[in-house]
Amino acid sequence: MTKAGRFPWHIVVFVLPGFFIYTLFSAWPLLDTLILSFFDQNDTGARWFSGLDNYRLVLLDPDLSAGFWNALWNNFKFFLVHVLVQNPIGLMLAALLSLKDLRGARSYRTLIFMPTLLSVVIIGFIWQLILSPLWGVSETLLEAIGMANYFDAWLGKESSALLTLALISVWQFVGIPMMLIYASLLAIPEELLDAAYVDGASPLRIFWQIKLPLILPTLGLVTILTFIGNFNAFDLIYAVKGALAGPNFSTDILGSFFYRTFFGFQSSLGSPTLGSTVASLMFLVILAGVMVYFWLVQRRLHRYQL
Amino acid sequence: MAALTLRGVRKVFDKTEVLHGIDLDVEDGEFVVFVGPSGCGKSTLLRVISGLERIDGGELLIGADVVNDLSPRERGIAMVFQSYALYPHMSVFKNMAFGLKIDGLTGEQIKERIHAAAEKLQLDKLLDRKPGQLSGGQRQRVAIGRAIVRDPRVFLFDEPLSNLDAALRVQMRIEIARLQKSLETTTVYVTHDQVEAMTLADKIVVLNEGRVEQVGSPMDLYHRPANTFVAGFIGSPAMNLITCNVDSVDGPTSCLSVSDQTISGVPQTKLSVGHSVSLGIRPEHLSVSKGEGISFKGNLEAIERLGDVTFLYLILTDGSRVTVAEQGDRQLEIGESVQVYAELDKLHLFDDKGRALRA
Amino acid sequence: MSTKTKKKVNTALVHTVLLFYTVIALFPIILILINAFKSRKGIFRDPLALPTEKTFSTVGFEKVFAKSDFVLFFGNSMIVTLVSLFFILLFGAMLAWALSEYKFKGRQLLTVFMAIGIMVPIRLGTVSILELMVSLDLVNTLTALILVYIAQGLPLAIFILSEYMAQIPDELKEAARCDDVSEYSIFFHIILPLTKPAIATVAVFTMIPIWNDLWFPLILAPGEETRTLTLGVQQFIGQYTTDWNSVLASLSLAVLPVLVLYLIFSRQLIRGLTSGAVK
Ligand SMILES: Nc1ncnc2c1ncn2[C@@H]1O[C@H](COP(=O)(O)OP(=O)(O)OP(=O)(O)O)[C@@H](O)[C@H]1O
Ligand SMILES: [Mg+2]
Repeated sequence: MTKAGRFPWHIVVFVLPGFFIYTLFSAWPLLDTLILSFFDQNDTGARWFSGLDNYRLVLLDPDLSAGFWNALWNNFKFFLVHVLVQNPIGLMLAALLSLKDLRGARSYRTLIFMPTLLSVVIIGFIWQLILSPLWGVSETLLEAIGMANYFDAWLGKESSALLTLALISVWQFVGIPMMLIYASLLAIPEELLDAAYVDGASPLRIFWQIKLPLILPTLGLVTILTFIGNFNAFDLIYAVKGALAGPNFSTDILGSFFYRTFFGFQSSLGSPTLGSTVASLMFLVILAGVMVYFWLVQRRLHRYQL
Repeated sequence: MAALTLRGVRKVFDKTEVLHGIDLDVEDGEFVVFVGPSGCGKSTLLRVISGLERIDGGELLIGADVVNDLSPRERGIAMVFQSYALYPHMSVFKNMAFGLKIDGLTGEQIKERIHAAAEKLQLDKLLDRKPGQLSGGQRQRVAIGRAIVRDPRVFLFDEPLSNLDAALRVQMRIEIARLQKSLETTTVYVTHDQVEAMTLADKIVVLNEGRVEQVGSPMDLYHRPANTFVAGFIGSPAMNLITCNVDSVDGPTSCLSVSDQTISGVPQTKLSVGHSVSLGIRPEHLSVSKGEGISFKGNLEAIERLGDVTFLYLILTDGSRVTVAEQGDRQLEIGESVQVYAELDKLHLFDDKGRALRA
Repeated sequence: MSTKTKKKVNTALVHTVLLFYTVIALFPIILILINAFKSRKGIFRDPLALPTEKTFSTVGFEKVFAKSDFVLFFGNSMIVTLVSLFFILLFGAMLAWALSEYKFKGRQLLTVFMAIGIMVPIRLGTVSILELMVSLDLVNTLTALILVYIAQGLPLAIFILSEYMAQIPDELKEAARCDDVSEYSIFFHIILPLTKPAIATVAVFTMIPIWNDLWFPLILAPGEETRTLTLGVQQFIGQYTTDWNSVLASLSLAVLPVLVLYLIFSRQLIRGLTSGAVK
């Protein structure tokens, strides 16, 4: 492509600015964080190599490790709620929206997607107000359907806070699986569905036996995107529950645990090196998820040429 | 197997009517082909018959039953689509079994039917493959197989061969004809391709802008087109249509004039002097060799020699163009004035509204 | 039941479900918006009612504007989002073009290197990013945020744009090269204009997370002067939790601009989302 003999300066010009910023502010910090996780430091800021000490602390130390395992376990629950609630609802909405000759599909789509665009922080506060026993909106609504007895300060209870937060997150982000699945449903050729209809299949059968198998790869993609997003979440917990992820760390997930380890909280001081270790562990979790996706899921789910 | 009857069938898309009252009788076991220019409503009519599109007016009968409000399955139709529409995630066997399972057949019955169909279509060895592993012709056969295992009352095809290359198309065309003859299932077939229409059809329906122009056997349409549209649409190259004036009428014959020439001896009784008519002559019925009948001359504008046939493109003094298809190879000079001849019984006359005039 | 009535019932059922979910999606937002325009009494007495003459009040908004620098925060968010977006699109398109057009040594490696950023969240590097910003003396500047967001947005931009650029017919560039047009001109005058649809898609994907982010503003630029809207609202509400008028007003102020923009651009945005997803 380049004229012989002349150095291709234009390639350098095209590549360099983006490469430089990406390397300096994304790639290098990620690598540096991994490196830092093998170091220790004292109050003066002096650092020295400490091998796997940090990992031992975070994973095994009787005092420190409890927080990590709690956060990891909570994070799995958080993810599970998304997989079991968000993605099925997204799938159902997408399936309904993609029905032929549905009037107003565009309006539904536009409106249902709206919460996804708002900041997680704003959403967190909005739901905090709505669920607040002080205001009583939820109680009034439950009363209207005769379920006033079930009302509780869900966000304040150890047993229900995490689930409530996960459902708030589901409420906000259901638009993403909906859109991705919707797009892949639209990509199924119309004649194929006509053929199934002529074969006598009911809309439900067409969904289960034709559409669903054809969009499985998209469901896989949605799941891994959800996984990455969930294991990197922070904003919602911080906005609603603060860095302490109360009550009693019951809403603590890896993102908020990372933040506290890095910056410290209450009496305990923050540590950049321990923070790096937690970040590296988060990296490993995400990497493991992505690898499972590529090796197991993606390979088995055949993408059919439509 | 059943007859198919359409009475005043209409279809409206977003307030525009695309089928304006179609009447049609298809007899039991007949092979009917819809032809017409692109956008004339062939596919729409087929989809209305199948039940994929709702009927907005008129009646559709299969056998003796009005089926307007029935689903495709309840109508007992099976359809072959242009893109084949095979389920990409199912094997050939499962593709064919899908509808049968819904019909509630047992596993044994399903196997029996599929193997019978697979044998007819030489699909026996392909039953475990997915559609992605098949060639175009094989996919086509699977699509047909999926239709015949249903043992439908009516077969519907929408341009089933248009995605195949020329050689395969000929082969599949013959196969479809053979199959239909052996199954004796009423069939409606949509195509762009004249040759397909002429060779396959018991009966051709020529559609234009949502209306039926003419219904008849292929030879009927070729020899007795009802109007200039059908005359121009059936046959290739298209029939020459020369606008003439009626000069004089003399008993059973009349004289027509085209600018400076007079064509005399045209057999016709219904003409009156002064009327404008179209004289239709197919290129293959014109010849430069002197013969009986009528003759006129034109300037040779271009010539195409294909070996077995030579096309001469003439221009008359009033600017109308005439194509002549001569058998064999002819040596003629461009710019030459050429006299051409046509037999009397090969002439067609149309009135100023394009309707055929017959003696 | 005839097929026709069955169909009608089904359609009605579908609409019921969709309508129900639409209400669920919108109700919280609308609730906040209507209560922001009520007096404290109105908010508590009947939260579900629209503001009436008696309960209408804008006291919340007045307090928000008096007690916090809302306009400044809004401006900061605008600057950060737009400047980041501009450079992500420019540098991203340049890199995408280099990767899809020129065959040079290390191209494969560079592609993989950039792709890592799609899978690995940049947040995991926060410790080093903060140390880096400290040493560059960029803490509490918008520049710090902009640099990080550019780094965050580039990988996806490159991925989408290079896929799109690879489909641009060779004849177009070759015709230009025969006329001895410089590679820069080819890029800016031929390729960029042709890439517009994909650029719009990337803009959508990139803009929303930047505007909404809490993490980096909280860590890199928490100072009063450089606060973004999201962080500003978060801090403000943390401070005035009990002042319901102010809280509702500040939430509304954070929601409204996004809402208005969304309703104007929703069609393009959703087209971008769905077309991007098909890939
Ligand atoms: N779903 C639809 N909505 C609106 N108009 C339609 C729809 N389907 C077809 N039409 C219109 O109806 C007319 C007939 O279309 P149809 O597909 O039946 O034509 P056709 O004869 O099959 O053409 P072709 O030979 O190109 O396949 C066209 O003008 C077309 O634009
Ligand atoms: Mg058609």
